[in-house]
Amino acid sequence: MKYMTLKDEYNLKVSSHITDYIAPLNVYVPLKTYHLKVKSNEYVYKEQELSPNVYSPVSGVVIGVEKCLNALGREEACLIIKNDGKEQYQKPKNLKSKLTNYQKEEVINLSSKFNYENIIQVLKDLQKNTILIINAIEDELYVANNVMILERKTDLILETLNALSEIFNINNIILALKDSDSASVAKIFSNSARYPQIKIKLIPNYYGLGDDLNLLNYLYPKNNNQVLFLHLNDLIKIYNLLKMQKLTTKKYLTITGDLIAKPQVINIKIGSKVKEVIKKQKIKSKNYIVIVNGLMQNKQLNLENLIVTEDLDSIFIMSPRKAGKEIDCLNCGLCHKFCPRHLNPQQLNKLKKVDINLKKQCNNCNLCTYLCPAKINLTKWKEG
Amino acid sequence: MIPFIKSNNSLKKLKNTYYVALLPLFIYGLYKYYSLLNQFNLINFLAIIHPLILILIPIIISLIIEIIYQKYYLKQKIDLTNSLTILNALIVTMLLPIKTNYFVLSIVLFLSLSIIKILKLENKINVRLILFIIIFLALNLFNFNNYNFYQDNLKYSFIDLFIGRSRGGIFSTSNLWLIVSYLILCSTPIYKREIPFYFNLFYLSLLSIYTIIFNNYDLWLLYLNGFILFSSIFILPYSYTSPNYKKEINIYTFIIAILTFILTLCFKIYYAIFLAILLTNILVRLFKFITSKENT
Repeated sequence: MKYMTLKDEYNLKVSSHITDYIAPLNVYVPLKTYHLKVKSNEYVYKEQELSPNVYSPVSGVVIGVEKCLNALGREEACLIIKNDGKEQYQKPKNLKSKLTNYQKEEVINLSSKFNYENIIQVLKDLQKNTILIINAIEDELYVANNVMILERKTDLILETLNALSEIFNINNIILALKDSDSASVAKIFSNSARYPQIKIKLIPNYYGLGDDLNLLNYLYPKNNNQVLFLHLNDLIKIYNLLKMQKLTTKKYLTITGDLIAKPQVINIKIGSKVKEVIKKQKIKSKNYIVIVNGLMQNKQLNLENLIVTEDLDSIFIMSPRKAGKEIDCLNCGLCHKFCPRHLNPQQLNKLKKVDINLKKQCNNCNLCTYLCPAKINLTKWKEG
Repeated sequence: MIPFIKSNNSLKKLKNTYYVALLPLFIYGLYKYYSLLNQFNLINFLAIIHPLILILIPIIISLIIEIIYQKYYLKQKIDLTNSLTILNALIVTMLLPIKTNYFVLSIVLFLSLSIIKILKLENKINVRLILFIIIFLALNLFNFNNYNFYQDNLKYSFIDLFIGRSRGGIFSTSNLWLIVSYLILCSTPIYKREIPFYFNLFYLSLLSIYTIIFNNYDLWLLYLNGFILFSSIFILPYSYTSPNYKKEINIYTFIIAILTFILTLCFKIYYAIFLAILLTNILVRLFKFITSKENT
């Protein structure tokens, strides 16, 4: 398996200052079903269940339903809540003074309260000999959410990991960090001395290692142990649960691009409209395209109805660019050589029908198309 | 979805790397030729421009073909960015001896390149290999190229051969500069660097075993003529017809190394590597044809 670093084409260094956008006028909550537990004009508290497993990120009045766009580009029906800015919620009982005072079952139950499926699964599987890897690697170029979390919330991250280690009796916790993020690495190193059970692993700046399976193959190519993964956002959720038993309603979002005057990471309320945040940015030209979740993914969406969801990590405001001219395949083999899942996209592109398991194997990293000297779209086989 | 950012990899970059890699060989070829002219007091205008004409022929012929093909056959704007014709012709010409007949070379290049272009064979066959074989046959047919490098090489020392002082291809005899060229080519990931590496590893292993058993160094002299090394660096990894998978590369280069060794040993011919590549490519095609028929 070969690894490679992406070419740094733009100078998009984010500001070290984080701006808060945590009090939007309205929030838009995507509904998983049409079974609503609230009515129009009803006052809702923060964390109140609006429909099964959907909770309000603010307190305010329900004013209607609107179709919005999520980070995947899918339209979803969203409940609109007029934010009163008071963040009123029902105070939890049985709060504990220390994070480590919880029992295993209590932590799992708390996670179930807000239906954090991924976290529940990991916590249920945690055993004494499990290796727990915290994947803090940001794959996409110019996205700095994880770096900012590591720099700003160092103590929170380490404290949560220490609590998990004590509650679940695990000694093998690995915090995987990119070695190129020197500031955050230095901060973590200086603060982690108190927690000997947390091992810090520095990972080279290779593309693709933000993916859990790729990271696992990189760290333990011949691994037989049970390995589980969590991410920095998961740790923040767990911290909020243990500390205040509250729902995490904010997230870091990178706003950058060659047309953004001051690229930065913002702390934003989940459910906000992206357009409202972009309005406050200085954009150098009116002729721009909006790309969500990184330039490698190149998901170009319309800003109009785009909302902040948990899977939205970055917004790029870029000047339009012509795609390179596609020529015949050179049979250079780069796409296969660098594929983290050992697929051969060039061969797969020739097939009329591709096995569904192969499609599942691909993790949409787009590295094959990025590397292709013939500028061929090597992910076409996934569409067929 | 095509990523918004792009890697440096492109056919243009590959071609430029090839040109840069060929440059040291070209300069050394000129140096060797002019120093020989000087040594024998043979300097005159025609003699000076001789190697330059030889290198200009493939460039001009390829340009003419590209212009005719794109302008009159495809009826499109002339764009040489994604064309490999000049590079292919140039590589093959660099292997030829200085005595090559201009007229025969021009005619053969023109006809063969035209056919390759019209039949769109560039990504189906190893163009460099086929071009060389056609030129070689044509030159031999008209008795323009009949000297034997093998007998010639026996006169030189190992160091002389390694530096490239022997007779042979005008721009392909220096092993030292060939290694430099290979390292330059390795700078681009599009170049299949494993193919020359494994071929030479296998071939040199066979040579070493043969030398140890029979205490005979003659085949080393032929290897150091540069013909095999040049072909393994510039012709064997021809992107369209060479394999990509590590296992396939190992088998492919191993077969070619064995065939080259046997042919060199039996017939003492410097062009054994071309026959070996040709035979292996035919075998690979046959194998693929049979297996695809079995699968259907």
